[in-house]
Amino acid sequence: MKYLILMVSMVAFYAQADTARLTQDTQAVKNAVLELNKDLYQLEQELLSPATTQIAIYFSLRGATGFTPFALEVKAGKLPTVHHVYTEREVEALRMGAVQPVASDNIGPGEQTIAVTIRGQDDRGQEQIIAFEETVEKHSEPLLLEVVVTDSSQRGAASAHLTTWH
Amino acid sequence: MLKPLVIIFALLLSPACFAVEIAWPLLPEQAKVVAPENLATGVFYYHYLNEDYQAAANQLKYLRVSLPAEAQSEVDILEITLLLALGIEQQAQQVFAKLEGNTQASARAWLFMARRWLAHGQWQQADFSADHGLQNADQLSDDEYQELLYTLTLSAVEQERLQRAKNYFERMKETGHWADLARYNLLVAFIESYAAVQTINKLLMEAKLHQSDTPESRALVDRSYLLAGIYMLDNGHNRQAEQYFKQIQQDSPYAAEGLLFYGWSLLEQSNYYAALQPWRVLQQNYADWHPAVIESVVAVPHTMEMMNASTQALRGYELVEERITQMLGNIQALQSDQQLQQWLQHWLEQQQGEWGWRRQHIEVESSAVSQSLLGLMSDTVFRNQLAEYYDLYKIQQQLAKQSQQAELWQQMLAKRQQILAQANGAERLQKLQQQQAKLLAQLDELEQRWQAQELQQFSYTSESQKRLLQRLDSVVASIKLLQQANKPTRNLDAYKERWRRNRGLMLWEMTYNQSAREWSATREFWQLDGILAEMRTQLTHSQLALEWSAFSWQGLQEQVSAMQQRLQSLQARVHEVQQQQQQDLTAQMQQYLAGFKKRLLSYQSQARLATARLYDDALQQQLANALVEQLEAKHD
Repeated sequence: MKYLILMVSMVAFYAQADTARLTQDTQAVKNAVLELNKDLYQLEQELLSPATTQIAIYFSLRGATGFTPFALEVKAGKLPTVHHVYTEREVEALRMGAVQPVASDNIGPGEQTIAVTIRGQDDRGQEQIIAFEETVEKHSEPLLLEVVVTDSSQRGAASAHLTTWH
Repeated sequence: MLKPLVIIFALLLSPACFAVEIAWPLLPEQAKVVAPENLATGVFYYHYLNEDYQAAANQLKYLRVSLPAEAQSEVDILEITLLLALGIEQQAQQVFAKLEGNTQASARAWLFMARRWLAHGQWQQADFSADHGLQNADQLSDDEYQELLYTLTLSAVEQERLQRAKNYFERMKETGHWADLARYNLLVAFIESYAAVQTINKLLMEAKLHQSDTPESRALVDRSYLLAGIYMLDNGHNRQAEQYFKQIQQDSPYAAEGLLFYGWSLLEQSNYYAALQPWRVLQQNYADWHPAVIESVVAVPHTMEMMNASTQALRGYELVEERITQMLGNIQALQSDQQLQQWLQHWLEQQQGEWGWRRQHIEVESSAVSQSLLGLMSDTVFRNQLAEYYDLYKIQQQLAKQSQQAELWQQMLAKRQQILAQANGAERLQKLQQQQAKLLAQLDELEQRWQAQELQQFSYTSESQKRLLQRLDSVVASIKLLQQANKPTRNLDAYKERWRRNRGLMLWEMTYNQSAREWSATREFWQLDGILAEMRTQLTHSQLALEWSAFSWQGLQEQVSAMQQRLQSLQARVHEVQQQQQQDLTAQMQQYLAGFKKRLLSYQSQARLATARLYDDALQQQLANALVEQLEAKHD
């Protein structure tokens, strides 16, 4: 009887140990997948936008407390026009200082004209459209441009400009 | 018979089964996020706040590089939260172990890490995180602060530090979702530590008093009454138990168990007729396969027997025998590997969402297997394993998709290389550069001619004017010849006068038009120079583009090949683990069904024993009556 109990408890122990090992294996696999996803993401960026031809556009609301963006449109040279419509969650994230990666593409060297149109609403609930154009020059480094919306203290309405990051 | 069932139900309804919904999104404290130092930080928080945690994980590396040393612990906390959300607990533990000495982070970051640890049942880590979050509680909203206190209460309860749990509970508001949960968990802790009836009663009264008007709050209160009632029943306080079970609402998720135990509490008080009523309601309102219904089916003839209603009891036991035999047959059919694996596959296909926290849990529709596995599905360990199984299934799909993508990338790279080779950029550029050199040489020549004009007396003359000038020159020679050839009497003044006039007119015209012609020539020269300068720029850009074009494929094919190999080996590994997981789950289900079958056999044997006993009693009674009649006849 004693041996029977001992055998049963050993079987139960090994069964539990098997399950624990399986959980460890599953977690190890997940970790490997996570690392692989990171490397794949990096490779994808290099494939789609090598550093030499890369142009990336970002969007942020820096202290623009009164302005709520609804939609964004960006035209850069001969690249396809980028459109984005904002959800509430995205707007909240932008208000907390997050920076939205709008688009990443490839562009040749030389001067490029960037045209940005932002449709939104000011703090009085009035529709506001912010539009501007700027010319930038593409060199061999990645061209990182940030469309920054800020409150304009003089006119009481928001304004936007382009910042180049290095 | 009652005690094992009580224990089983108590285990089934333990706090670990009561999963808390994790409210998203994670919102780092605003002051730390308002002005991102650089794009990497901002982009990370964008993905993070929009719950795209895989994308956020991809940005972590850039975030670490861009933030200063004093902000690294906040990044560690974010990383731990991401890892836990993706179900990678071991890695999270490793990062957490490094964290303990360095604890500068925002309150919200601590709070949301605490949530994740709590969801994983890691009480010590949850306690540590929540405790640190509490140090800067002024950064939190009221609801978040209550949640923090709840986390501390629960983790203290789970670590069996009741006094600490009580202290934190007393700091909480009396009403609210978090207070309800904390109160419930404290009640469970008191029950497990065999607290006095008065203590439990007091908590229950508070729960009822501060109950919110939400389904979750009402369900929690019902569950509290159920557990307290089972505890009272187990300790012989049947009257008190009855009072508790009566409090459970008819439409509660715990109504079935409530009805079952209500009946038992009445039976224990020898209130047999009353005990039958809740069981009849249970059998009418709930499906046959419900564990509470199965138990009540056996309980009813047992009660009849205690009421000495032997005939009804016998009929009842015969019905139990029939029903259980049928159920045993069903379970026998379900226990095969094939059936269970089919059910698992069906369950997999029913679920939605990506792996990790983004899975949307969907209950499978009712089937013979689902009904039989009802008890197992409420086990947290089994549910977690099922969740992992689903994760592996989605990971396998994701890896297959990424493999296809890698294949497409290889094709794209080959295509790029081919297109660039066909474009013959180098040769064409060289030809263009040669043409450019020729044009520049021509421009230089023009420039020299243009500069030479400045030195001439009669500059910027047209072709006709040049011809006229030449004619004028040649006419001088002719006039001189005439002068020599003819007699001195010949009058050449007219010729000379005409020559002078023509020369004068010509000089006038040339001088008059010279500045305009000079301006026109200069302008055209500079335009030409400008166009050639643009051409030089364009050629430079084309040269750059040619140099850059190599980056679109060079070195990338090897990287993609290496990635493909990694994908293949990971797919094989995932498949292996998936198979093991499937076998393990199947084994657990079979084990559960075997245990269920054993329970049913136990009910069946009890029913048979009772049937035999009743028949035996009836026979004994019959024999006794016959003996009495015989004796009476003898006397007569």
